[in-house]
Amino acid sequence: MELNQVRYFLALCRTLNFTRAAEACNVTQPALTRAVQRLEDELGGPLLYRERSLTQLTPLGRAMMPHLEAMSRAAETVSQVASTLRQQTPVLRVGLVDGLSASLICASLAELERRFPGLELRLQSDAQKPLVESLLLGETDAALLIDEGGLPDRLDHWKLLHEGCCAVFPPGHEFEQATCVALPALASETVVRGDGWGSAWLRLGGEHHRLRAASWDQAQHMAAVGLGVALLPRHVAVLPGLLARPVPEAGEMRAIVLAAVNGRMYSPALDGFLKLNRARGFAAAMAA
Amino acid sequence: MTLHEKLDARRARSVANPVFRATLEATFAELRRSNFLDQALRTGARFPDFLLPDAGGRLISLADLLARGPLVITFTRGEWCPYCALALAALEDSLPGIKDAGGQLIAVTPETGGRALAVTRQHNLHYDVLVDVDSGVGLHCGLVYRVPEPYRSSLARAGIDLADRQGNGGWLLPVPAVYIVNRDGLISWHFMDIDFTRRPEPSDIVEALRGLG
Repeated sequence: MELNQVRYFLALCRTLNFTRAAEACNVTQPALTRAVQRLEDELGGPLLYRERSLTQLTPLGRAMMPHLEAMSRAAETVSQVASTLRQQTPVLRVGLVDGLSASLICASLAELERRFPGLELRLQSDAQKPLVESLLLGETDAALLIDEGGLPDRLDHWKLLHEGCCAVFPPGHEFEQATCVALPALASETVVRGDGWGSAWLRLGGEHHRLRAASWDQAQHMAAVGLGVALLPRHVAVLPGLLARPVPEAGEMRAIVLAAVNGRMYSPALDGFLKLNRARGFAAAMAA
Repeated sequence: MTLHEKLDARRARSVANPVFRATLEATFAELRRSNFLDQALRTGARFPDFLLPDAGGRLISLADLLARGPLVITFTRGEWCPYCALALAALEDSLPGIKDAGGQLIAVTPETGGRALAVTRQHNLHYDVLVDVDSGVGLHCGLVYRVPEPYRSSLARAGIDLADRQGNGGWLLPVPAVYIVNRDGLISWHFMDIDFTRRPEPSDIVEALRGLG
């Protein structure tokens, strides 16, 4: 398919009117119609119902629109990159849902800083709901969220990893000799619960844990003095002097996704941030 | 053994299965019928500028690369494609020849989620694999098509979920074209075939690079 065909189709999606779409694209209506017909031919069916007074998307048109929009945005960003690299101070505002460590995205931020000198970078941490609202309001450009279903349709989101859980304890603990810690082995332990698991916590059977910490660091400090075994997400850096073993039954506790609002043009810095993190293999990096 | 011979042998194995043979023939017939490749960028055109992540998490631009000399760009379909694997390995073998001719080499894949790094390690590649997230560069080049039925179902049955691999549910693939882009950013040589089992012989690429002077 061709970039112009996709552009014209997306203009039609916005206007639902051939005349207005042609005007918006600065082409004649017959040229726009021909291009969209070619795209329909390639995609294997009509994308629009053309009725006298009403133009509407067909189910195929509706299904293809978000994918074509993503492609078109990627292509348009490609062509504006060179000029915008030299433009005004780039700004990037990234949100992390409470309990997610910035270590997940730090490598990509360092690369953006190299690529966009003078980048103004703002990291925010918040609960999922206010972070989603901040994205929708345009106050945050991209965020790492937990996908428990129910993210708004206006957010594009891409799975970064299904994250597991590990048990963290001081040296000398009997778990030190094991390569992993099975869930039943934790039943006889005092567990320190970090406050950031959300509903995933219930899958560890932990409604009744006495020891609760407000952050992963607090949970680790409690584990370090022998108060109990801390259960942490795999991505969290283990503090020096502590040991960690995976909990196999909790291999996929929760899905961490990268989210941005769809339908908006990305700044080059945001485009770079999303591409770097979508290109990366988080699961493999974590296993290494 | 030349790349052509390896590809032919691989293809012969695949089409020994009459169902897959029919699937391939129907796919190529459909892609030829729609003529979409007529619009693709060819020799003489300007290659679109880009800023794409590589397997190691750096953002690479076309301008960075061209500053070091002419560039061979090979589009690949993904980690799962056996023909792409043969082509990438053959290009690795001819990397000294490409460098000798003053050129550089990159591969471009639509696959996200660390698959560029996986391919690099699997074939021990000494050239960059860039990730064309959402196929923006492929679309600019006019190489991208929606995988037609019955090939789509055939891939899905084999557990090859392009939506998951690319993070884009459009079931889109690029024609695995090869371009040589000169220092001025113009395409000075190209190879493209709807039939993804056909790839250019690396020796032809090296010869074309030498011809650039």
